This record gives sequence, C-alpha cells and structure tokens, in this order.
Amino acid sequence: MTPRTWRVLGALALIVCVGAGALAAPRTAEAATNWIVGRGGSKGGTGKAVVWSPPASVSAKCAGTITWNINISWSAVPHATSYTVTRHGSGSGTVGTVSAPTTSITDTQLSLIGIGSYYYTITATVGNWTSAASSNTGTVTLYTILFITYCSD
Amino acid sequence: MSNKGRHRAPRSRRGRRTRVVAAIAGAILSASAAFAATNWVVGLDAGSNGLAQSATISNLTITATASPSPSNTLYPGGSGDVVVTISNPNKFPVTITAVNLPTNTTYAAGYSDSALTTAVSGCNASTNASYVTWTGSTGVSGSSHTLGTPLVVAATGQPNNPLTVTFTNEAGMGTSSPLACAGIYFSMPSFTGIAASGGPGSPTSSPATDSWS
Repeated sequence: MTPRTWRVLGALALIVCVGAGALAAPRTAEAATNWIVGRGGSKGGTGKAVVWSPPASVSAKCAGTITWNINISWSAVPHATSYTVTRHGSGSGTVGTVSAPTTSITDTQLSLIGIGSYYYTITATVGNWTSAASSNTGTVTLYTILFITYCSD
Repeated sequence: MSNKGRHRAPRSRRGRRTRVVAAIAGAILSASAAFAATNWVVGLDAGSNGLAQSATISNLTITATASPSPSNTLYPGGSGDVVVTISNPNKFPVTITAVNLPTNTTYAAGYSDSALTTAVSGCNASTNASYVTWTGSTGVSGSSHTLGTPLVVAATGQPNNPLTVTFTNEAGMGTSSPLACAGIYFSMPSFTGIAASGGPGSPTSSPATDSWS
C-alpha cells in the first residue's frame, strides 16, 4: 500500500475511534436516566376541604325610629358566592338572596305583613354547598302608637 | 486501451474508499439512532407497579400523608393543596420531573380523619362523587404535567428520604360537590406514573412545595 493509502486508513480509524467514544460516553450516562417509574400505594395524596360554616356576627337593626324597615347584616364567609336571609317571628319567609361580597340587606316587606316581633337567620352558599342557618339575630319589634309605627331593637 | 486502464484504476479505488467511508458513517448513524430509541419509556398503565429500565432500579412509592396539613383548602369551584410523601428505595437519588395524571372523572374519596381511615359515604369516588380531581387532568388518562421545580429524592437511608411535598392548589373541586364533602379530608387518586431519572443530584429538602403546569 502507498503512503497515501495508509494515511487514509489512519484517518478512517481515527473517525471510528472518535465516533465510538462519542457514542460510548452518552450511553453510560444515558443508561441511568430517562426512565419512568410507577407509584406505590393506593392513595395519591391528602387534600382537605373547608369547613362550611354559616355567617357570624349577624345583626338586625331598625332603619330608624319611625319605620317599617329593618337592616340585617352579617360577616362574610370566605368563598361564599351568595347569602340567603330568612325572617322568623310574627311572619316568616325569605327576605331575599344577595350575591357576595354584599353582606347586608333591608327587609322592606313588613308594612305588608304587620306589626310584631321579628328575627332573622342567614345561610351562605357556594356551589352545591349551603351552610346551616346562622344563629338568630336579635329580635326587632314593630309597634303602633296613634297610627304611627315605631321600631325597637 | 492502456491509457484507459491506467485512469480507471484510481477511480475504482476512490469509489471503494467512498463506499467504505459511507458504510462506516452509516454504521455510526445507525448505532446512534438505535440508541436514541432506547432508554425512553413513554407510558405506564394506570395502577401498575411501574416500569423500570433496569432490574436494579426500583419504583418510587407515593403515598398520602397527614402532615403538614394543607394550607389551601378545597371548596366548590376552588382549588386546594395536596400533600404527599415520596419514598425512594434505590441506592441513588432520583429526580422527578413530571407526573402523569388519571382522568378528570377520577374522583377523590372523602374521609372524616386525616389518616384517611374513616370513609364519608356521602362524599366518595363514585356514587356520591366528591368531584375532587387533580388540577390539569383531562379526559385522557396519563396526561403528563411538568413540575415547576424538579424534585430530587435522596437515596435510600439518606436524609430527606422520604420526601414530603405539598403540591400547591393542585386539587380542584367541582361546583357539584355535595355538602357532605365540606370539612373533610380527601384521598387523591393515584398518579398513573411519574417521569424520573436516576443519578447524582442535590436532594430536595423535606418538606417541599411544588406544582405543575
């Protein structure tokens, strides 16, 4: 073989060696990587739901001294999307539903219901969750003197 | 004639040389392609014990844990934290880069205690569905979700193994969740798999927080 042939063979041998080295190096590292493993156990983790409590700090106050209207208010419940206020006492029924973040409502229906004593409860709702009724508000009394209706809380 | 013979011989040698070089290059490329096609496991059947590339690699174990208690709690239409413990039985650290989730109709079961031992019948995984699922889950089982920060679980017997991780807001609760689900604990559905690699790495300190995209 001529010297040129030897040079060509030498170059080819070098290419093969370098190529083999380049492949061998990542193979060693690669062999320990890129695998997927499964999980054991039947529980994938622990989550917790909020305790769904009714509104607190409920209050019913006369809108004035001479009035049929009563203002009802309460504290916000985190994550609630709406609240429903229910009247109890001399006449029962739903006062109304308000969307959060509103936390108050005025009962304007009592002139149609009549004088008497009333108190209220409130529930909080999010999704399918409706809380238990809140504790009772204080009692509010409507009475009439000489055809004038007074409110007392 | 003699002139033709003199010129034909070098062309033949060049052609043979070209073929030899091409063959060697082809062999190298073939080996590379074959190698690239190996060492990649791209799926894992739900509920299986896992697949490993080598008999010397053992599966990780992911379980529910009661501590620390999730900070962000679930409510209808909202999301909350999930706390897990990951154990690595291997003699080398394992880096988790992604999780594979069950479908978005695979619901968590409700329990009245953090140890997840007393089931709540009105809030379970089937008849009275909790509608609690993994965030990002889809209609297809095994969807892959890359962790915001890779988790390196130390080798067996080392500190920070097992590794406790809080996945922040990675559970979601549907608005149809029944009131029986309020105030209770959930056993999240198992992952269908995780993407991980073994090898050197600085272990993640326990407890850790993470999330996925």
